[in-house]
Amino acid sequence: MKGITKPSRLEDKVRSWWQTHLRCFLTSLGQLLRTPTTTLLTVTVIGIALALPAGLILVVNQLQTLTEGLNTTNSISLYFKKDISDDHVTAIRDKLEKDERVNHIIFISSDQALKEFRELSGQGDLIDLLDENPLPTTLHIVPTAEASPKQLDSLVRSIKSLKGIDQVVFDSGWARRLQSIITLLDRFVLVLSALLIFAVVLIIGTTIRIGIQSRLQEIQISRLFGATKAFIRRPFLYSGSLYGLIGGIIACVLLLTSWSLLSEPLHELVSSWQLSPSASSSPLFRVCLLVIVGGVLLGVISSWIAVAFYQKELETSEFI
Amino acid sequence: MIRFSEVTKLYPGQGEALKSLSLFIPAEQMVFVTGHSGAGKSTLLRLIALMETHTRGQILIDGINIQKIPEKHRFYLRRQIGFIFQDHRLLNDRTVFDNVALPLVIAGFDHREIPRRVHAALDKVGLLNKENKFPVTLSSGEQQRVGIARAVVNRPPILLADEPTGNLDPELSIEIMKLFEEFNRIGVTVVIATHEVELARSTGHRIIALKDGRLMTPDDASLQEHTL
Ligand SMILES: Nc1ncnc2c1ncn2[C@@H]1O[C@H](COP(=O)(O)OP(=O)(O)O)[C@@H](O)[C@H]1O
Ligand SMILES: [Mg+2]
Repeated sequence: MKGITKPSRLEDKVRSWWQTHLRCFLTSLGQLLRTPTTTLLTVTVIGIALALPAGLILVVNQLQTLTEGLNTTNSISLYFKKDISDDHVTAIRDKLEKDERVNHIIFISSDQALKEFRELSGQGDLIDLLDENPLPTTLHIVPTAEASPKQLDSLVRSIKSLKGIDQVVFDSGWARRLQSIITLLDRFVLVLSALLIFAVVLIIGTTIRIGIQSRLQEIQISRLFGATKAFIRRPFLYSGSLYGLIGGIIACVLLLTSWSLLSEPLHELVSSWQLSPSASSSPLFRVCLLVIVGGVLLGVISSWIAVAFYQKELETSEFI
Repeated sequence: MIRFSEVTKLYPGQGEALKSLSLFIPAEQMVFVTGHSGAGKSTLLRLIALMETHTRGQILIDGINIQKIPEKHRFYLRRQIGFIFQDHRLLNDRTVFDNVALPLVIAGFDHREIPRRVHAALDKVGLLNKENKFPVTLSSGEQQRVGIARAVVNRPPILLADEPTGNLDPELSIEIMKLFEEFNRIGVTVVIATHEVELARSTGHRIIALKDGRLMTPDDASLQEHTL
């Protein structure tokens, strides 16, 4: 019967596509809910395995933003020799100010330094005893925040080669050490993340494999009645992505909980160090999104691998 | 149309289940494959259903050499074949309705079309009132009929049944045979493997008798094949 109400083929296809996927999704969800304890255990393990690297990434990220605040306190102090002329100092200052690694330069003449010292120390009488000003003319060079430790090193070296310099003090030892610790931490988190992601793939893959084994008859029957590989794969991809999704949500809950526990002491730390309160929660939400999306992707990938392994076997094996 | 040309199926370690078997089953025919246990009846059906691959020879279904079909296109031929197992092989975690609907779901039927077809198939086997039951709550005869409904719901041109009456009493067996005859009447090729020679003979349909993987008597239809 052909009538005007007959829907187009494309419409039919789209509808049947939706139906197929919705049915598959609901079936997979139903299967997870049928064994609640096992499912809960599995997704919790996945959640922890996802939360751990995500949390560490967050911590490292926060440390990095905090130490960015510290970088501005790094300055290079340049002490000139006694007999240097003001013109020479001005020339060097002008030259350094043009350097892209340099943010700004504070100039302190020897007279100014002495005046400040007199005021700060209150030892004016003692200073009067000296027949000449013992303090050198000084430049405090504040590098830009973007300048890397390596760039700063080369800046210090080039300054040391200038004429009339008595001493260059680059008080960056602890800041640089902190930086390298953070870099090390960063690498460590990277390696740990890779391992834990691999663990998640194994967990989901194994779970899916067990699921395949428990539904062997269904698979065989479906194959006999003409199911395509994609048809057989689909419910497992849905289960896999559901494991990833729920695991990701659990990871987010863990992250948000630990964050709310940590944020107050962190803020105290930040304000006690008089750093900019950069510990905002915006990276937290980004990481949460990443964990959920990543969880789903990992679920799809690992179940795909599990089914592919099995289907390879299926092709060469015979029906039960 | 199903044609076997000198088909041999070797099970490693078990010997040859079929030995250079040649036979021809024209389209829309109903035939019985008989023989003692171990004669190779199941093997014959499983080869047609693409559940296994033969070792030597050639199998043509509707003129297509099934060995030449790559694995990824085999699903299409499988949809043309309905298979009925002796042990039903129903999915016990699904209702009768869902069991019967499986081939339709696989073939991607519209969800409004599925109930109509499932009901028609269940009606045919007289189980319309059991659609929401689970297989384990049904009798063996009823489970067998659910298996039949599942095999025919997609209206395949070929129906294969492996010992479909193996567990049933004679009355039920005759009923099931009548059901197959009905399908055959509307043009379905039906191949039934059974060790119950008497039952097969009583229907008056063609019989292919197997013994140790060979034809017991030279089959007239397969002789005819060579003259075609
Ligand atoms: N999967 C299998 N693996 C090994 N040998 C098998 C397998 N299936 C059947 N056979 C052997 O093939 C022969 C024929 O078996 P089958 O086709 O099941 O006979 P029938 O169905 O007539 O009883 C038997 O000797 C049996 O042992
Ligand atoms: Mg058998």
